[in-house]
Amino acid sequence: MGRFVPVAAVLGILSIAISFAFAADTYEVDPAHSFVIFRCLNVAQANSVFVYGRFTDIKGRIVADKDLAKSSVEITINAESLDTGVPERDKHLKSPDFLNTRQFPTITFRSKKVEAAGKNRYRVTGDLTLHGVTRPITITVTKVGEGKNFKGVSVIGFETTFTIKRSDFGMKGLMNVAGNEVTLTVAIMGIRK
Amino acid sequence: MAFFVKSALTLTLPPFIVVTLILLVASVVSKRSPQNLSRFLTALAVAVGYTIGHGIATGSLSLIPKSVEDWLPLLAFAALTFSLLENLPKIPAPIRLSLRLILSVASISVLLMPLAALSLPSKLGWAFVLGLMLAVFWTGLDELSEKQTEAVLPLSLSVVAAINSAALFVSHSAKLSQLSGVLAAVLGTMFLFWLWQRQWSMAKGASGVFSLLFFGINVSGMFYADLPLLSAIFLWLAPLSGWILKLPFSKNLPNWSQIVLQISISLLLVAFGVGIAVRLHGLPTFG
Repeated sequence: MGRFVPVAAVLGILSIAISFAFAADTYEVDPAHSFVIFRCLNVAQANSVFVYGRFTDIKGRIVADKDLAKSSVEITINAESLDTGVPERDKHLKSPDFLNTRQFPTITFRSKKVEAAGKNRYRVTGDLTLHGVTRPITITVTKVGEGKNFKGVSVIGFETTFTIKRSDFGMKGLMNVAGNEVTLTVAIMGIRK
Repeated sequence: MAFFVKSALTLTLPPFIVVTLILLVASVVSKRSPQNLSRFLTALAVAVGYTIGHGIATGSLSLIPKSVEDWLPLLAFAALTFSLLENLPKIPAPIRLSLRLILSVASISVLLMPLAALSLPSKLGWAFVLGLMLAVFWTGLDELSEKQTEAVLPLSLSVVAAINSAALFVSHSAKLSQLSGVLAAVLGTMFLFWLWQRQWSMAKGASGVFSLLFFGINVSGMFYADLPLLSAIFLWLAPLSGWILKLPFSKNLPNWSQIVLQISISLLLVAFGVGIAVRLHGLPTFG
């Protein structure tokens, strides 16, 4: 009994240490260092140019766990924050012609599965909700880096580029104005809570 | 220019063909059968013609609406069904008008309910006010269609819907602009058909379907795009310009003068409607 108590204590401390070491880290998406950029072919301009734009209001949460099954990501984008640099075009893109932001004010992504896909690369499967339509997508995400920033706060950053068809999300009109394929680059940085 | 011509033809040609075919059937039926059936077929021509054009413009037709404009073909068919009921001779006028008001408020309600930024009481308030305006518009147009046996009304409605599409385009919605263009094409087809079959009034029966679509497109433009309320009011008044002919001074005018007067008032009102939208938003400079 005398020997058992110190062994149990050591094991207990060890298990607490291990659980801390493998505990999930939760990060809050930092809007100042997160970017959602899109590009779409301008068909009305004789397919001669891509229009680029971004969403400036991004929120979300990243749960990073060594056990990838416990990792997750949730991103919410304010669709009204769309900015292509031309206010008139922004209003057009936000109208019922495309995003219909007054009916569908947010774009969300919620992961369902995270798998390894190489060094610092992950295959993330989840539901993308856009224009009121939810569809499963699988994207390959690269971890750009992690560590303590200049303030000593733990941060982590990921980036991905993928292409969707707007018609898959109920935006089937005006194909003679804007292309069907929209390429999105999502770069997010999370600040550890 | 070729871009706009191609777009306009793609949108308007299929509705033109379908409306012409239905009106052909209606003109045959009207010679042999009760008036109510020909009225129903006229309303059917507008509803089906619009729905085909709507499908081309939006790329889809859905029985379960997702985006707000998906409701518009369903409203057209609700008005079509209602026109069947309305033409039953035994329904007393007060009940008929009450049912019309209920359908009007319900139609505006379904368009406003998906709006994310407006509270429920605000949505209901707007639905009641705009629904009441729609019911008055519908009744006014219906009365005009009974009184005007010429093709002035389809021509006037077609011109108004065509210019209305310009107001919607300026208000940042090319899609709603196209839908108004489709409505203009359908009414324009009715007018062209009248040029060929002059014995028959085209406007009768179609006023309910036109009213719900015309209001529905502009309410969508107001709340989901940037069509100014004042523009919408002028545009809604324009189809009712025929009422000017009920004023004492215009009754003694020759027939052609009355037509010119009605069309001129219509054009003046739509010019105000478009002008206000242009003044607020400017002309589109991007593409």
